[in-house]
Amino acid sequence: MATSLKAMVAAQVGRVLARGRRLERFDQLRSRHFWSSYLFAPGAGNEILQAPYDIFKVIPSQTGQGYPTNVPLTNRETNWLNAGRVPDNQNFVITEIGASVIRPPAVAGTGATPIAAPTNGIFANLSAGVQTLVNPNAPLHPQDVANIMYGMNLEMSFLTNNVPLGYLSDFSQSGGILASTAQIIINAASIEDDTGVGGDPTTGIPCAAFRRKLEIPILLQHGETMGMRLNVHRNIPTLPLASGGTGWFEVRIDWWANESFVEKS
Amino acid sequence: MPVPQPFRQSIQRQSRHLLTTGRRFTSFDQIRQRHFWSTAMFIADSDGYILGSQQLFITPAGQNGQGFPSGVALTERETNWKSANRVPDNQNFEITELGVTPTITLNSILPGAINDMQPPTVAASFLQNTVLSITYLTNSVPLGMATDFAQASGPYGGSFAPENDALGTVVNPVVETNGFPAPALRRRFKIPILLQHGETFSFELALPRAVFIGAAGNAITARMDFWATESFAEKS
Repeated sequence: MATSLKAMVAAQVGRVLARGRRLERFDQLRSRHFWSSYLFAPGAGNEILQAPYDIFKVIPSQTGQGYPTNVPLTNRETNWLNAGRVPDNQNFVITEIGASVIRPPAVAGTGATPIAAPTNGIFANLSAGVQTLVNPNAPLHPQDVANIMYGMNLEMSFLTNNVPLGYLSDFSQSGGILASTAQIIINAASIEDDTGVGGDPTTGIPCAAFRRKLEIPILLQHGETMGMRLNVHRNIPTLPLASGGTGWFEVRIDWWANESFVEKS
Repeated sequence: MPVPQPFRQSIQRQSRHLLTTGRRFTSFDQIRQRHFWSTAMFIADSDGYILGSQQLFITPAGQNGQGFPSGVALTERETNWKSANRVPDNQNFEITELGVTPTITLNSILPGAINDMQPPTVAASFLQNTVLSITYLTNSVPLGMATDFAQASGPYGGSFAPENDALGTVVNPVVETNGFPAPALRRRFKIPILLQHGETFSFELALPRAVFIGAAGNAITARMDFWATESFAEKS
């Protein structure tokens, strides 16, 4: 090997072994979303119980955050790569925070009689009792979404303290289906009744430019202990199936952040 | 008539430059802004579920791929990207906006398709369960969910009558957009995505979990677009 390359390798080896430092500087920059989700499937009683629920604590391929115990999380649920801390080769400047109330992937049929539910999916791995209380194919009821958005506080967690940032309803999503349809049904009371064909409600008017830009961004450095928390201070009631409820909900918190990083290969 | 001397020297210089340095373009001296797009199709299996991933910007017009039925060549309706899985050699890009649009599946592409938009619940289901990533040479970086990247504009509102399908069942015509349809309200990247000529890259729409979208053979057609400033060298 050429002398200059040999010297370069020796210097890098020395840096790693003697000082424990492989990463020199965070010399790359990009912006993207980071997200983490929590699954609520209240079961009997239809209430999300008073408790703190932590997110950004479980990484893809591990289990937790309300999901069934043998359903590892995927990039769909979170793209956060370290449990409860910032990875060592990233730093973040968080300029937007968003909250979405959504639902797991739809399954054909009903909770009592699902059709071809994927065996490694979220629905198939709920307990049988919970499955019968879930409608896996229906859009979320606006009343349930409202109760969740007004009933959960979003907190930022650091080493020993949690800082409440606002209600879930204070943080909107950056995109999402906005729909209208022609179907007007006149119900028995001679009142127009759009029978829920508009789809799932969105959190706020779905557009990125309308989200709040943090004038004082949240700064996270490499290695820092952090997370977020959904804090429920009073039980949140949700509708039973007979009243149009769906029995399951996901809360997804996302950030838009500028990220400096070191990518090694 | 022989080529005049000044032209002959110019031609010799260009030939020598090309043959010795491999460079025909001296600089990317033209600039413009426009959309670039690529479309993928997710076709439901026999149980009505979609799952898996499709790469985008890997199939140029005239070829088949990106989930489209076998034998269907893409047109500029589906993509205006000229190269497969890389930036063409005479272009550079500064990407300032991204968007994902659930569009119409034509029955001229997929027989039996409804020639209409999906019901909002199905379109929302697709957007909320799909991860958009950018893929470079050896790594793939998740940028967000498809629902995070609104389309620039689209059909919005209006009034129209319900219609019946061939069976006499009322079918609801639907208009829907991913996000509030206004270009000024899309996110501008303060740190743009930069792509240089010749660079290997693609985008990916991935569904890590199976999603029920209705009957077997139903399909989601998803268009991913970016608004970019493009420097280029156009030769003839």
